[in-house]
Amino acid sequence: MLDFQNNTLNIDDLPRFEKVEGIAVDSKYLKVLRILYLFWFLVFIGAWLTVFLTASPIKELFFVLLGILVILFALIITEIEKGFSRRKFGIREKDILFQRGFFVYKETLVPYKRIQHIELRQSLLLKAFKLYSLKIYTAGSSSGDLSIKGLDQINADKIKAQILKVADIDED
Amino acid sequence: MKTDFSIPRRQNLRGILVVFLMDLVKSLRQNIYVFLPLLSSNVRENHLGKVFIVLAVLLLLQMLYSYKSYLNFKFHVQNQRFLLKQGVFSFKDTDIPFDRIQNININQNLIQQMLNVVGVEIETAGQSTAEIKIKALSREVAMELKEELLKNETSIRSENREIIENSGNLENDLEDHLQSEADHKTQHNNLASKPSLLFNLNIWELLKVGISSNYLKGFGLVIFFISTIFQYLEEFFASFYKVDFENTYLTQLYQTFTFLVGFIIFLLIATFIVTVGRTVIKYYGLQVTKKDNDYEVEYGLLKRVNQIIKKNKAQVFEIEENPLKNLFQIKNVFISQASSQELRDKKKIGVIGISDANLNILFTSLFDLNYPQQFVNFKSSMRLMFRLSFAYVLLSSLIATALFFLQGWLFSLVILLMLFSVFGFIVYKTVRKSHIGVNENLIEVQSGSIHTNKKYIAVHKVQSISIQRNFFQQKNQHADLIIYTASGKERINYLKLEEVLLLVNYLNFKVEESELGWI
Repeated sequence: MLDFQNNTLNIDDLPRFEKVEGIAVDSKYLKVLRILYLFWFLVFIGAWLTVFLTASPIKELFFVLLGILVILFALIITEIEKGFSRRKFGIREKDILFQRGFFVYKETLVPYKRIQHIELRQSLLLKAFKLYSLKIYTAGSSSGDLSIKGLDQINADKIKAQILKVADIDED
Repeated sequence: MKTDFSIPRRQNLRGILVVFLMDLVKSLRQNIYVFLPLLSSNVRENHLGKVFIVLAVLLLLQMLYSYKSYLNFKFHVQNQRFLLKQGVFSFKDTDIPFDRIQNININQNLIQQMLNVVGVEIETAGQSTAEIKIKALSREVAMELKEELLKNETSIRSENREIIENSGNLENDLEDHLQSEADHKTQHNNLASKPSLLFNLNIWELLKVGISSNYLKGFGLVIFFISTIFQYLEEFFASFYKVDFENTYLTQLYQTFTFLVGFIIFLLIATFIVTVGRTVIKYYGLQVTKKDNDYEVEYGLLKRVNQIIKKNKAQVFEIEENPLKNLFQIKNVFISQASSQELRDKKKIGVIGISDANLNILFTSLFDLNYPQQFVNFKSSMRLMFRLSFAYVLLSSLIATALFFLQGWLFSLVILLMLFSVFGFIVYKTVRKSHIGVNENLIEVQSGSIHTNKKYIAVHKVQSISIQRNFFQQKNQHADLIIYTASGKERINYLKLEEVLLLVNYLNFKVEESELGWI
């Protein structure tokens, strides 16, 4: 169907990223996300209640505000609960792939060659669950960088090792 | 090498103090408003003791935090990589291969000067200015570290190294200067070529560019200007002629009409002058000279800008055309180079009013390919019209509703239809022009509505690729393609999913197969 001029390479023979079997992030990370959204929901509802009970000249406005709050959280919770099974990463020989999102499904593909540096982060909450988040920086704009949250130690090390291996090959 | 960098080490012992003081200055700067209550004498008289206790506790906490952050800050060098562990509440492991390091800055602020230590910043080409900041090392260790990090620097890298204009960089700057001068000399020996003028723009040609530019921005500026001084003007006229505006509208219909026409003509002329004036002031005396393999671009009336286009640093080559420019047979070219910060429009190098012949020269020297090129094109789907129309429909409906209440349904309907046809035309043109083309070496991204904007990116300069599909696109098998380069991202909306998959696999293959670096 495609006809690249002067092209000896058959476009159908190229390795296809969409065939990669993704590996899901650790299911414990869903617990972390649930704790986070519950926490923020309680904080916002608490704030709303305190303002509502202490000083409320316009009741209607406050109910509209509550409605917006509830819809917003419903969307966020749907995104997290429905989208969690879509958070998958794939390690290939020369690049790494990450997919996520329910309402907006985004797949990002970063060749190891273009990786500037990597960062393994662990916030207190993640530490409690023995999870890591791996951030992969390229020289491109930050939305093109990969940030894989909720990896267990084994997977985090595996990805890191793979990236290091390829980077070492480059240097030889 | 006296210092062994292969074992994890902390900063210089004096670093405890440096880290503490720098953190303190930072938190003071961020929370300066906390001291505002102290301005009131009431607070000073009644609560001074409490304030001091709170401050003392905060100071103690800050001290503990800084001490812990000093203890946890450990770096070492291993297998040609720089590794850093840091963090107090959340932990961060950073890993940078030597060949990804762009710059190493050694600097000294006042605190560091007093304690006789230096700070080291390690930059990679990512978006943030400095990814790694070591706050306190003795000067000798800092120099050794710099040497260690630059040990395997290749010849290409040193050529690319930029000189940082930072008053804080004392000797380091000088050293860089010397080195880059040395680089220049070797370059000159290889290719002893004199700078030669490629082209310059005289005032008449500059006017042509101004006349053929986009008037929307100028119009916006004029409207903004007028709306701010409108109130003042109204008062001014009212006191002058002693007329009441409300009355004039109703009684002197004829005069209102002439006033309206006059006002519109005034608006158009002002927009014209502002637009052309902006172009002339910004690009006055534009000239492009060729120096060895690089081009030097100089322009500006009030602020003279001098920029150098380097072949390997250039990422995106943008050509702008519109019907008027085609009539004058000129084009605008903008070149974006790799930058450590997110690129703004300001940072693009503008070579405007360029003829086709000169465009070819510039294109050829940056890509080693002729212009124009053949591409296999993938077009945006007509479904994109729905997405683009949304904002326009909302806007026109608002205007029409407002007019309905002011002037009645007939007038409102006529205006609504007019707006719909204009916006419809623009949306249609936008979708028709939106496409991506690829060939062996280049990517062409076309956009625009009335004007046409073509961006060229060498395939091997792609950093990463994303595919994004919203809720509807997941159902109807379409996708948006986003290509990230070191000078920003290019987005092509609403392509067919199967075509996007092909494109991504192809581009990815080309990037991974290519021996060429992005810089």
